[in-house]
Amino acid sequence: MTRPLVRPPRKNPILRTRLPTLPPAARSRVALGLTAAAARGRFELQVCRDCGTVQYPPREACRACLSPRLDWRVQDGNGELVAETTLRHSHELFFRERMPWRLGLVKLDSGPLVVAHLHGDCAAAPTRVRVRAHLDRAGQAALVALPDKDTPHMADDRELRELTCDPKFRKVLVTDAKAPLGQALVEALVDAGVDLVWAGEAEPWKKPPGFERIKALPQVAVVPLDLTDSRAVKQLAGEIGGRVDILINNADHHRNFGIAARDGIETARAEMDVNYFGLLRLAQEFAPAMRARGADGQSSAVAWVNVLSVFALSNFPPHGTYSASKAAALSLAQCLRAELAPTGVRIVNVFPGPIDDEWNQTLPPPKIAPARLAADIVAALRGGAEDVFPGNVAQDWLERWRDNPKALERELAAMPQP
Amino acid sequence: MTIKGKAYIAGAFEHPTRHAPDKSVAQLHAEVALGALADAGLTRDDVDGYFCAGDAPGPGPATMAEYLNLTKLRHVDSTELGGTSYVALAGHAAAAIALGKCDVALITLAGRPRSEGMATGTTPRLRDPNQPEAGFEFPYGLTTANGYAMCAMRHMHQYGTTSEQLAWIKVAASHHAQHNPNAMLPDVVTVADVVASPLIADPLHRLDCCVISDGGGALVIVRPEIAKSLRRPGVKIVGAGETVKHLAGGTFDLTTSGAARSGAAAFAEAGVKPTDIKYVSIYDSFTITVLIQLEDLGFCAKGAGGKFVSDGNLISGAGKLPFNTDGGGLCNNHPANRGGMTKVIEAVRQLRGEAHPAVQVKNCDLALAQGTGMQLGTRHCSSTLIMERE
Repeated sequence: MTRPLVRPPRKNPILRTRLPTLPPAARSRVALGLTAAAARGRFELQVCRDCGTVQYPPREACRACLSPRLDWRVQDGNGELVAETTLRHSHELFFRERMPWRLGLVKLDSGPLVVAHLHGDCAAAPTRVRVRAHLDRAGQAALVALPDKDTPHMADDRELRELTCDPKFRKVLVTDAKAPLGQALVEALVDAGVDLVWAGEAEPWKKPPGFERIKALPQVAVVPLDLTDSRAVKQLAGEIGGRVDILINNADHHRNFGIAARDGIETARAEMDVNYFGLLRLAQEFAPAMRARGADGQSSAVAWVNVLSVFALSNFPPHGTYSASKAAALSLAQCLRAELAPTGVRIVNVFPGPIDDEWNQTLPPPKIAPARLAADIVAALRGGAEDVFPGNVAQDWLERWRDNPKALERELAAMPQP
Repeated sequence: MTIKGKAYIAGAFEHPTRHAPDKSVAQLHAEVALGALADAGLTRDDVDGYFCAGDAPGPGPATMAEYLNLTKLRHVDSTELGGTSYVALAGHAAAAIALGKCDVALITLAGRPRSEGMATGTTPRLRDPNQPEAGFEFPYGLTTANGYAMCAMRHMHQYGTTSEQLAWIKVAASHHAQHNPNAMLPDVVTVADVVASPLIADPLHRLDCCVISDGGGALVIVRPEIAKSLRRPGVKIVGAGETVKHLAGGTFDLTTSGAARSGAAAFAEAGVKPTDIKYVSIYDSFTITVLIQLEDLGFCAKGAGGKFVSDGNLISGAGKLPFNTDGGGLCNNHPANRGGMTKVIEAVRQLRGEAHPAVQVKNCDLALAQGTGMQLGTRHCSSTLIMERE
């Protein structure tokens, strides 16, 4: 049974902060198919279109019939743990610092025998387990075997916590916490057991409904943070940057215009200033400290969440300049991901469809509720994904985009202008 | 077509060093080459076939052929089967000689993992991302020790094998090593010592694991006519087998090794059966490696290995099946982290009657060397060699 995590003691400022180490990251190109699926929170293996054989490890030709027609398909991951072992001596620094480390061989019901990290609550082999694909600290897919049925405090398992970004006992900065999604995020994080939430406030004179209640929560501290003000961002990073374990950039400037509907570039510039330059300012000031704290004990710096938009994948013409600013932010987030990769800090990009808020008022449903989106973001932190498409609209866009991005572009162009 | 009786092991040499920080790997290859040729009574100029594996510096056989200045080569082979390569290469040399491709074959092995600070057993393997399985084993921290450990775990589950039974394999090896002046671990240990040693990869303890040593070894294999002209006891190769066993897409059976296939092939070629064998050299990277191979070769029933190895049954003079009378990889030497070469060398010593008198098997006329290479738990190579005293 997993022992529940206890609140970590205050950090001893005399001790040197350990530098992050990563698990081995080398993968062949075809093997990155597993990573691509895990990035979206899925466990997929290749299945032969000709003979139906499930492949593992990923390969270019079917192991049974050598057909090259292999398709990635979602797996249920159910199987039997046939043998297990515990790593008690290793020259791989990542594991050396985390021993003892449990691992095993799982015979999946679909056929293959796979090596997997082993959750502490899995009974001794042979036993039924569920295999999931998580991104590890190196950003590559890793399989983890979980017990057949959920167990109390299972998220607190030492090995599993190395594969997740669970907010429990961590300190989180949420930008623009006053917005409907910001408030929902703060509330969801408090429910998830965070140590502290810094609620960023850009416009102190605004009194949105609900914020007084959020402010009064004992885990919440309101901090001034206007992403369009470089000095303000720098000043806050100087005060709290060295303690932020998870940063959620929720700040968003959203107007409903394409190109012809509005004269001049002021609206587009304002969108870029928050959605793109705001992210850049945050990254320049907050990423350096997080980079150094990727292995800072049980509650190390682990994740940076960008609330983007599914419009970042393909332009939604009625919200054309907004889509462009989110596309710019997505591109920058990829750069940030590359720069933080050596530290084990995961960049989680969230691609919601239209949120049920004032700037999407004229869009017909379905629209995702802020509370639902906040819950999905917290669930993503507890899971092993880095690209999150919450809600039906986002999932539908994603499927169309993966299938044929040109078709999606044409479909969006054909949508009636409001 | 068979290799039975077509080739003789005329020279065998095990480097006495176990720690060689002052020597290069190529130099160690040269020293063992000269040692084996001197043992056979031949010179470098007689060598027309050269055999080596992954431990040889440089690509394939070319670098070492130059370093050894072998100028008459007309047959080379650098088949890489991991630690068991040299058991297989002895069979390859016999095949080449049988086909007339060469007359005098030289096989060399050398390495210095101890000096290079490379504790291979707990270093994750498979670094090449182009290797299809590369991203699916080492990112989990799976070391060599863990791969073998899972075989042991499964064997314990399926057949009720115990840590104490595995420990008997180490105990037998240590009884032999006490008579070997070059052995790295010459002290006799007990079952209690083994199970009390720290766990390295559950359920394997430190004393279930082989040593890490520098050193090397070489063999000289020749045509029968040449063997008869030399003044050494004749050791005839009568059977060889090799195979690869891998995950097979999930149909893998952790408690059976490739020895089941390579052993059967070698026994069939030699026309003998396990009960005819007087002495066995069994690759002992870990205790479990020995137990599984003994079962697969047919020295006992599958699953009965634990009982078979217990109570000193592998100790020369005391038990029914003397094994690894030099102390094996568990106690004596595991040069270059590859134990295949020393397995053949000790079998040759036994057949010649040149083993230490305390461990020499009486009337040893038929011996078997068996090895597995790479990772028993996921994919490995296996090779078997049966040799007969002339």
